[in-house]
Amino acid sequence: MPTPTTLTLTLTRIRTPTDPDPNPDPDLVVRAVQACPAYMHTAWCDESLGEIDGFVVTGNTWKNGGRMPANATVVIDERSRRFGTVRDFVMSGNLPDLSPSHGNASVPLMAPRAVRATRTLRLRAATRWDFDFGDALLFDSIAEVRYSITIEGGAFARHAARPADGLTVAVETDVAVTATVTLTAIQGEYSIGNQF
Amino acid sequence: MVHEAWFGAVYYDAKRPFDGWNATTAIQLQGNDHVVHDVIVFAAGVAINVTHGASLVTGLHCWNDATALGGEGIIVRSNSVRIESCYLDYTAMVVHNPVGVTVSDTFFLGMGNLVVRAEQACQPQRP
Repeated sequence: MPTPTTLTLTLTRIRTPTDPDPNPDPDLVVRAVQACPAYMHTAWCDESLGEIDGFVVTGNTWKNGGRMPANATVVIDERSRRFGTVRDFVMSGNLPDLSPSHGNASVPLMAPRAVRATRTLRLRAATRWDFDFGDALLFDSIAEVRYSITIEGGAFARHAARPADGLTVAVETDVAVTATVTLTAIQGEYSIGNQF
Repeated sequence: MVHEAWFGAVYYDAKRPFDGWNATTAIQLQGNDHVVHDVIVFAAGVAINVTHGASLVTGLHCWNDATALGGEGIIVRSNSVRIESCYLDYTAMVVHNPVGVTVSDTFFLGMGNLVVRAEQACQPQRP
């Protein structure tokens, strides 16, 4: 049985007559307010964020028998509250089911999800390499980015990774070059010995 | 210690239609330092619910109520729990706020997946 919690949805319509927005529709605010069960005093309820501190997920195998709809291997369930601390969430050696799902060959039967993902992109005569990890990472923000750039020919360029915007990261150069950028996005924090 | 056992609220050939057995929990670990190994759960709503720490679950085949039917295989609600070499057979493993939890060498079949849940504790605490 799940822990009894109640979720109160508060709908508030806010009219902003001075707003120059020609859209006559008022803003709609949907607020999810957590509440404790009625029998429990509010002061006794744990209102803190969720915590992951030492979660080792290694060497697991996922296989969708082919009769079920495609789904994800690992799911972060923040419907009740969000995770605050994410420390030492170590994943390695996990094997998803990459067989194409029925009706959509680009979607694997059991989609891999992880706290660390690496992608490679080669562009010709470009100054910006965009990476989207929306279909690969577990949480909705990126804590650390590492990248390498291999520039073809004899050209040089100054290059930099820009701060992540959600689950997208960009690497830019000051001059157009043909280059391959390999970028790793990492979520969470890691103690000594568990860094990637 | 629970080992080399089969758990079922009803015989497998009587699993349909439901008659209330799908609200059952096969194994409820309500203390520390337990060991569960080489167990098959074939008819239950939840195969095992671990609410206390430092337990070891290995070789558990959760062949119980599927996720699509409302079942959950392994539920971990405590710290320092090790889940090793288990078989989530069309049912999910749900880990609440994992602290010192290991999930290794486990096989997830069908829609059986690993759910990491940040559920609000709402436990009575000293004010």
